[in-house]
Amino acid sequence: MSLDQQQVLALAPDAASAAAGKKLARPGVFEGLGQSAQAFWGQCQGSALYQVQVDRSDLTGKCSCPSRKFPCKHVLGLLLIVAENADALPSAETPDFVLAWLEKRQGAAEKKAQKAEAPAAEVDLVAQAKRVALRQQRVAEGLDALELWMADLLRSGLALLSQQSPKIWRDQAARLVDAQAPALAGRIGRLAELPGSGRDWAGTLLAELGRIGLLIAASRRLDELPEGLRADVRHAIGWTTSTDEVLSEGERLSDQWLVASRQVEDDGRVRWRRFWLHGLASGRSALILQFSVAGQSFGTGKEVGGALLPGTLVDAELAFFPSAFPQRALFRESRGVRLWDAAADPFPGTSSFRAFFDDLATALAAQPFISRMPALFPALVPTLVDGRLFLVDTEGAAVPAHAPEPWRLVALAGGKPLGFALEWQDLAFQCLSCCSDSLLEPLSGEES
Amino acid sequence: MKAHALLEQALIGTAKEGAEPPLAPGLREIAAALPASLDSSRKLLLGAGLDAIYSMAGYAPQRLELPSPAEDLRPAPSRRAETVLGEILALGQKGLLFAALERVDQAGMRWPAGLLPALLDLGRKSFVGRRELLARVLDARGPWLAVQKAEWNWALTGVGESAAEGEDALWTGAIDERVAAWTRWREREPAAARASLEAAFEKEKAEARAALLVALRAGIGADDGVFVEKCLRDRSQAVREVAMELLLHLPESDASRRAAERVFAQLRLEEPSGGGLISNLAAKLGGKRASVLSVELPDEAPKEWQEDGIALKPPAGVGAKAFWLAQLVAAVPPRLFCRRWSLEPAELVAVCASHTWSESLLLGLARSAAALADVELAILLIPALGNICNNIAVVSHQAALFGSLPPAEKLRQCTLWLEKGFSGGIEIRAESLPAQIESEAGRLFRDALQRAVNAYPQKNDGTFLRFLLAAATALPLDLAAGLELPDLSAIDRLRYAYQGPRERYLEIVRLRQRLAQELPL
Repeated sequence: MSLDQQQVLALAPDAASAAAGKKLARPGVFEGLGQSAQAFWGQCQGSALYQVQVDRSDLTGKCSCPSRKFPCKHVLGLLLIVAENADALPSAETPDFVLAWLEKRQGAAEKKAQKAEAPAAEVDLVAQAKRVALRQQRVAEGLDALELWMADLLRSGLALLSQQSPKIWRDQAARLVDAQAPALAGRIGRLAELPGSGRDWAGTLLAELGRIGLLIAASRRLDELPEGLRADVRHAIGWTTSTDEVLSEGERLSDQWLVASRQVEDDGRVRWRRFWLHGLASGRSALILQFSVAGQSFGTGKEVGGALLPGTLVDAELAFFPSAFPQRALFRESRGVRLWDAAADPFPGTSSFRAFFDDLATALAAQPFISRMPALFPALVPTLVDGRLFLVDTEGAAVPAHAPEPWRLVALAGGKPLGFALEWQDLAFQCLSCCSDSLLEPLSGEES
Repeated sequence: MKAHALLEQALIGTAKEGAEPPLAPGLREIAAALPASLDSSRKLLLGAGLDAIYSMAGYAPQRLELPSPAEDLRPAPSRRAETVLGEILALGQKGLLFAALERVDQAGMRWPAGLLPALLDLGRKSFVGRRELLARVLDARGPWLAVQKAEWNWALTGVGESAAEGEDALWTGAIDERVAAWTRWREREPAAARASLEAAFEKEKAEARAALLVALRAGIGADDGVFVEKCLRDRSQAVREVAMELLLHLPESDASRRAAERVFAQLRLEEPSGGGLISNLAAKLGGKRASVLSVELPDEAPKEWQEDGIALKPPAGVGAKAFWLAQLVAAVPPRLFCRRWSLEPAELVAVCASHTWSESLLLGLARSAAALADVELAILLIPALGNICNNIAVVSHQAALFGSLPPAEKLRQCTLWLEKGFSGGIEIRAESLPAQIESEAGRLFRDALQRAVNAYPQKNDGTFLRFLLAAATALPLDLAAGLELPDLSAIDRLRYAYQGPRERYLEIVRLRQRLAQELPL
């Protein structure tokens, strides 16, 4: 797979690393540059002479520098040189330090495969059932307390919240963590900065509290819910489904998946990337999540067969998490990644907002707790009215939207339609990517 | 709207507003399933949840009329070229940006649409004198965008070719833009432009009058004499000074004749009388006896001087006679002194430089030489002024003389300045360097620059570093890339001052190389 600068920068753990990598992306900075069919390598002078190497199969890098970031700026610099001009690295015999590393990686991969094939240890089912029952009780008590707290907020009035410390939300989130409801804890924690933060904060807050209220009500009647919706409610509270379970039992779907967008979110401790994929044949959407803790890499997409970047097409079988309206998925089997070619596969999507909102209503009927819904549109015109961004479809229907640089979008379009990857949330679209001149460009989600 | 009522109740609180949640009609039916025993705050909580989902499912878009799309005539550069142009824009180096704009234009392309907002954000003042270039690369999309945002409206005016198209630019906007518009009109239709300016002159403020009068330099001729003479009696000294400069181009005008009579009545070049033994011997042996410049100034300036634009009241710290003398000399072309007194320019400068009133005489000559772009005299006067003193007036006159030089001579002066260890009686600034340097002269300059770089650790001069950055853009690319900038990070005292500009220099050269690669001509 040929690399471009954007794809390399997508591997950066943060914006500072990306900027530092760019500064190093000059052949003069590295010495002993070389490449083979398996790897790229070079040496970069920092406080010492660092050995930098990249495994071409999955773009995993290694550097002898002391940085805790992964990949470090030296690996990014080397990859950016390759992206700029692959011929800048002469073909050469693989040096010993690269060979040793490649062998070590190969050994680790084999060990992992052996471990996966080994029979699972016996599970103490009684103890497990006891643990589950105890957790259910804790969760139920935690949700009762949360509902009481939210009802108290509404009793005294949301207007008072803008004068209160965000700590009240964080304390409540901590109680939910103790009650073993981490997903709900995250949602409550994210509300901390909302009061007083914008014109519509109260409406947004009320809607989210209401949705959580309904979720708590649904959690009390789990047994009466259809199987898919039961999984959605449990997941929204914080029960997890194991990867193995999803891979073995989840709904499977093979397709050519267009990586339509990438967003990065963060709660201070953990950062996660959200990728929306769109199946070219099935028309289905799939959400892939990648997590990173303490500045570590999100991974290089080894399970995918390449870095997961907007504008690439992954030939893969996905396994969906159980849901009444399955969205989140895992890669079950990947047959390769290539750049999406607009000439072969036109930008997919819904032709009008009318069709999208019909689909949304159907989805909500199946899974009312959906808070975000992805959508691809091949032809929308961005325009600004009184400083507010709107997207206008081919029928003249306009919907408010948010984008990091709205004027840039308007300039790119010049009054003509562009393709868009969007996410519907809080009664507006979030612009995730746009497609102009047959190239998909991410608009949000870059690390800050 | 029920959703609004629901929010109102939530903001006030059910303790004060304890009625049933005011749900939308479609939701009341669903909410009826809630247990009657539920308290109002819980009912509100669940009602809000239902309302959020209901609103999301039933969202109805509004309708909007779109403006007509922009129809660009030029193609856009490639994505890779756009990336380079974006980095150039982000670097904030004006010289490099203008070089990039020119390259885009020469390649017959338009500025990338995605970078238009950042370009327009730079504002009107960034593009003075380059509006035509800007208009070409903005293509149709630039104005299409500019019309939609008040802060960018500046990009809509003053780019037209005809007077009618540029009408707004003549009367509105920043003064430098207006001067540029008047100059363009003046070049096309000198008489009409002057007549229009004359008619509107009185209504303008003093600062604008002085600036706009400069536009008459373009194609100045005898027909302009009456108006320019009238300006000698303007209430603003700045306007009078511009008028006096313009009259240097009109030596046949009445005012210029009066100026010549006036100065030669006060200044006379006389043969030396007597002399000592040595000078008499030298004359006998064929040597030239230096003539003596006699300056006789009245204790009180005649009133008619003022009517011809001479300011009588000197600024603080300047003697009245010195002040008058500089103006008297500046009011006539410097070559007139050479002709009247049969002196070569170098002799004229030498006579003035050795006189008691040297500062006033040289400043006067400098002003007129700069106004007439007299290169030979400018080259002589720059060091002569540097030798007498370095006060603000001298430095600004040196800068004006330097500005009047053609690019090749400017480059030669810069080369000399480098070779003399960043000195030579003139303060060279980064802006002094021509924007583009030809290859042949550039090689000599680059060599001098390289020697200066090599000597930098001994000199440690901040002006030089700024100069170096200007050279990164101005030098032909191969010469700029060939300059070797040593890594001095190991020298503590130089690390912070030098390494930053060094990195920036290398970055500029790298961007130029990438631009040349991505936008071939």
